[in-house]
Amino acid sequence: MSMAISLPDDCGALNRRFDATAFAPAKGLEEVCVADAAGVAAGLAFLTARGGAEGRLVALVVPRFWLHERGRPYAQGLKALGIEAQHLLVATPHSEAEALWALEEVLRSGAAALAIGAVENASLVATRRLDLIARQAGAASALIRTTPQKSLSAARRRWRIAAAPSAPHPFDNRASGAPRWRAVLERSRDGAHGEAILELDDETHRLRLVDGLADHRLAQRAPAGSGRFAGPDGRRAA
Amino acid sequence: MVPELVSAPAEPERAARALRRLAGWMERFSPFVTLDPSPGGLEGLFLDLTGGQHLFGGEEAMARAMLKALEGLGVSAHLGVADTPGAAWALARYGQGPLASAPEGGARAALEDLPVAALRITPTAAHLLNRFGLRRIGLLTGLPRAALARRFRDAEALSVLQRLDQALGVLAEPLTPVTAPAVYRVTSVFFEPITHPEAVAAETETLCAQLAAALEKDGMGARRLRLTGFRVDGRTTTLEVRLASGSRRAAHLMRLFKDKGFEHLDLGFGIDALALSAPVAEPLHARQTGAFGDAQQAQAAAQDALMDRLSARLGEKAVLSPNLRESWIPEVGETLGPYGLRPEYMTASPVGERPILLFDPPEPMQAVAELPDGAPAQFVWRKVSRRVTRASGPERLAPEWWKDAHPDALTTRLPDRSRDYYRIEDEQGGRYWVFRKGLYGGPSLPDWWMHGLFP
Repeated sequence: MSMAISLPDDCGALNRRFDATAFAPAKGLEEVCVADAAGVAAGLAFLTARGGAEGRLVALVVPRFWLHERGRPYAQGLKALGIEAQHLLVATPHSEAEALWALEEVLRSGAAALAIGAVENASLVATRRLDLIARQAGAASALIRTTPQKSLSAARRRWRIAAAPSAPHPFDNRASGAPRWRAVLERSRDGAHGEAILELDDETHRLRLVDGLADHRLAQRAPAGSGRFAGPDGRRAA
Repeated sequence: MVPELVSAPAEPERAARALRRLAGWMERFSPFVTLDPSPGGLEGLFLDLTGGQHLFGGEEAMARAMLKALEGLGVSAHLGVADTPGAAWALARYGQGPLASAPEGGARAALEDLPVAALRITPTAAHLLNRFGLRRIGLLTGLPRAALARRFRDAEALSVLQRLDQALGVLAEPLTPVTAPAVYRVTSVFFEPITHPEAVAAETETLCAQLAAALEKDGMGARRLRLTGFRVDGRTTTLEVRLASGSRRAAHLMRLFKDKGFEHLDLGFGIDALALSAPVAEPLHARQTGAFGDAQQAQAAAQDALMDRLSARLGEKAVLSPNLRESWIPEVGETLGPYGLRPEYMTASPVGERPILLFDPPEPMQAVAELPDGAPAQFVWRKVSRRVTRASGPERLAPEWWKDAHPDALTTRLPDRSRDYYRIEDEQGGRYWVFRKGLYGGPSLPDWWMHGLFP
């Protein structure tokens, strides 16, 4: 059985294993580790769906090849996460040094709410700079990486995000429902860590926690109609 | 006969290139420089001196400065100065000495004694005029026009009369400049050539302030800036920056050049003049502050300033934003292009669920479907085999038939096949947007493509 709990606007509470503010976008630098192509999409969605970017710029700083390898950001799809086409910026620097410069520039401009960079090898100094600038600008910044980290990092939190089987669709038991991700908080400055399954609410463009005790795998095995909040399909089956 | 004669093959293309380069360099004297458009005019340049003479201490002094500068380059030049391009052309080629000038309004008198060939007419026309005994231009101006025209066949008569009128200023002669002259342009000339990028930067700062003042006077903002350095060896070197929206803040303009990097200017043995121009400028209205929508405007201004800085350093092609277009083909309906297209010009066809990351071009994959035209049950993409647990679709996107059927199409392409899009999910929870191109029973077997990733 699956039970979704809606969180208040800043996704700020209600998980036994998480600190209350664990999900709110940090004013500072975060790191998101992903494993594969689907993970990149999940990480991107996780970062943007936490909110705080309405009407402000979301910048993505990635190498040129990334747009072919990982796919290019598609505004008509990102709209479902609350980002409008005119607020999306993609910068493709030639080197990681230029990428770090571009990220700093984006944060310093005051126009951006969120700057995401695909930088694999950022030094401790570079991450500390980014963190400081982001905090001064009151913006969120994140580095998405696919390889394990080589040097120390000054990021406030490190997440590991992966796609998870989606929620059952209310009307069609063969289709995917609301997207879900497994988010692991591996490290954070305030010592919090934990793991949770998150779900995207497609009406509010917000994340909500899927109750960890009600194992979502159980929900999947049971017929889609057996849940308490199941749709018309379920009612027919019951 | 002449044993010490050195011969070299003629290279008209190289000569034309050299002349064009020289034309760019001559822009230090006037923003309006034209290559001589008349046939066989590979050796001439026209400069519009209007309004610039006082900068060099008068017309005469300016012409001498030009001659001296050209001599410094090792170019032997003859200068003609007159009211019209035609008269100047005649004086430069048939006048006395390397510098022949006609005073204002004195074109007719100055041309009086020159041969008719000075009118830029064809050799046959000149030959014919000579046979009639009309050897000097002064004789032509005295003749009745109808009588003069009657002596030639149609086209030639027209050209003789036209050239005469153009030389005398009766008929306007429009010229096309090498580079469109900018309305807003400031220059500075140095006593000594400068070779250091820092010195250029310092000079540019002053020019930026001057340009900003000129723009402010007219309520304009620059959209594009061009910094031209005039090198001592007769070449020019330029640095260009673009702006996402009009600006006349000297500090901002200077910062863009700094980000772009003065080291990109090829200073050679030094430059002795610098020009800063705004080839594109737009009216800039004072922004309202304090009432409604203030935050939004501040946001737009900050965003534009950011774009300027990023594209100055990374290059224009490296700063992208989505451009929407009315087309239901996903990769055509939205492209990632240079920033600067205003959202009000963007329209998008209403669409269903779309991925957040799009593979462009789509990547081929292998898929096995339970039914021939159903969703895939298993697929191999990037060498990994995945089992599909959930699927929805299809959403059929037909090709844009009017594009292939265009009668002016140069090649007859095979008509594009329709696409059936499915949204599928694998066991790990990865959500993909795939499509089957073509239909079963069609001319070729359908194939599968990976087109995007859902969150």
